[in-house]
This record gives sequence, C-alpha cells and structure tokens, in this order.
Amino acid sequence: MITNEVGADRVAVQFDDLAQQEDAATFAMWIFLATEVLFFGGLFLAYAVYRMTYPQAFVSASDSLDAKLGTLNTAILLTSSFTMALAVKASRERKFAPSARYMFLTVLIGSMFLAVKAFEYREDFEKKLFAGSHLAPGSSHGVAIFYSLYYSMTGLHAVHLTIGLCLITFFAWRTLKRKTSAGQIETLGLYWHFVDLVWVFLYPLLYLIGSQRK
Amino acid sequence: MTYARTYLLLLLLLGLAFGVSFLNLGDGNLVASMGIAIAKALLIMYFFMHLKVSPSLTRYVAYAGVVWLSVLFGLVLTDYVSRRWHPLPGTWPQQMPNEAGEPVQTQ
Repeated sequence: MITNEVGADRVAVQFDDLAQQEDAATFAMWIFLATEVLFFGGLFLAYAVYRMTYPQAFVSASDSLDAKLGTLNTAILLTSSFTMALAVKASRERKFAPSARYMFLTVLIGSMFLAVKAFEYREDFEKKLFAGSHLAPGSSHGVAIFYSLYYSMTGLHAVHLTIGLCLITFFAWRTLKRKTSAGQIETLGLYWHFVDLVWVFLYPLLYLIGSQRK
Repeated sequence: MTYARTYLLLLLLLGLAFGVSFLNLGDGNLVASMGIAIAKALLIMYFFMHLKVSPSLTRYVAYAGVVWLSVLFGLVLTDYVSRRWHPLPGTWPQQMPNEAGEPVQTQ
C-alpha cells in the first residue's frame, strides 16, 4: 500500500493502492464523457437531419458566419488543450508550481476563446443572424433552423467551457497550496480535452460549409 | 509522441481543414472536413487524453461512447434517409416544409 504525505494522494479505504484509485477516477470520468458524447450527439443528429432537409439554406447561412474567427478560436482552444496537457504532465512529476502556472495559462487562453466568441455573437446579432429575424414572410425556414442550431450548439459548448474554466481555476489554486493529486489533475484534463473535442467537430460543420468559400 | 508534436500536428490539420474548405469538391468537402476532424479527435484522445496508455477498460468506455453515438445516428438516419426513396401516397400528410416554408413533394 502506497502512503503519501500529501492529503489528496491518500488512498481511500476501498482501493488497494493509489494506481487503482486513479484508474477508477479516470474510468468514471470517461463514463461521464460518454454520456456527454450522447448529450451533444442529439444536437449533431438534429444538425444532420436538417442539413439533409435544407442543404442550400445551411450553405447560405454558414456563408454569413465569420470563418476566420472560427478558425482563430479553434487554434486558441487547441492551444489551451496543449497547455492543459503540460499541466497534467507537471503534476504527474509533482512539480506543483509549474503545474498551477500551466493551469492558469489554460484559463487565460480559454477565456480568450470566450472573448472571441462573445465578440462574434455581437457581430452576428448586428448582422441580424438569428432565428427570429428570418421568420418574416418570404424568408427561409432552413436558415432559421441553422441559426437555432448554431446558437444552441456553440452556446452549450460555451457553458461547458465556462464550467471547465471555473474548475481549472479552483484546482490551480489548490495545486499552488499542494493540495491536489496527479489523478485529480488528470481527470480535470480529460474534461477540458473533451470540450476541445466537441469544438473540433463544431468548427467544420458550422463555419466551413459556405458556398462563398469555394 | 510528445505533446508538442501532437499540438503541431493538430494545428497543421486545422490549417488543412481551412484550406480545403476553399476548394470545390462537392460531397468531397464534407468527407474531407469530417475526416480531418476525426483525425484531430483521435490525436486528442490518444495523446492528450492518454487513451493510448490507458487500461483497456477505460478504452472500452471511450469506444462505447462512439458505439452508442453510431446507434443513435444509424437508427435515426435510416428513417430520414429512406423516407426519400419512395413516393408517399397522395393523401398522406407531407413531412417537411421546403426552403420557402412550403410542404415538399417527395419523389
């Protein structure tokens, strides 16, 4: 049995050792992420069905979105995943201060994503790119559905990202006080990478289907 | 594979996805962009999320998520795709409005 001086590394009574405890934690996080796959999956399915029904409307609605901002945000989020991976690695090596620094950096980069998204939402609203503005007589039903999906999918993603930012800030602060274990940071990292994964699929489906791009 | 190399590959794939979206490949655009997205997802899962070195039990949970997602997509799309294959009897209500909001006559 491995014992450790750090409180968060204490092995709970139901586990044989720390490795088994950590495996159980990552296993549980993956189960949660599998339910999240299906949570987002419903929206992706709705997207697939309506894109088949209104192919032209989806193309023209996507044309109005700013693909450059979408690409920038994808790069930002991939970068934050990278810094989070480094934070997990540092905590595995029991380097608390660098691990916390990487986590704060992740929070900073994640916040940049939200800032770009907020700026983009404002731009979209100024261009009247939302479902309600397309329901006037003669305008397209499919375009309205595209924007409904655009806001619900990116919105739900932003909610997940915000939760992630809060969690990482909390755990970075705990890491500074040497009160976290490598297993906890690993689990936290899994959640953050999942948020990145969802965006990896949102990006081409929402931003890169326009006809003006060809 | 190191984290830095994974990260660089991800950025390369992002650039590729953005570049390919300017080409007109017809249905190939969807195939290419989804292929690139899946490649990125695999890189993130295997290297950032450590699936490559995880216990097989954990890996099966990750695969299970994908399996259930394909059940969801498979069953629903079987319905929606096959609806267009046969004409509906004239008295049946039509299913979806077209782009202008009028009911569509399926062939």
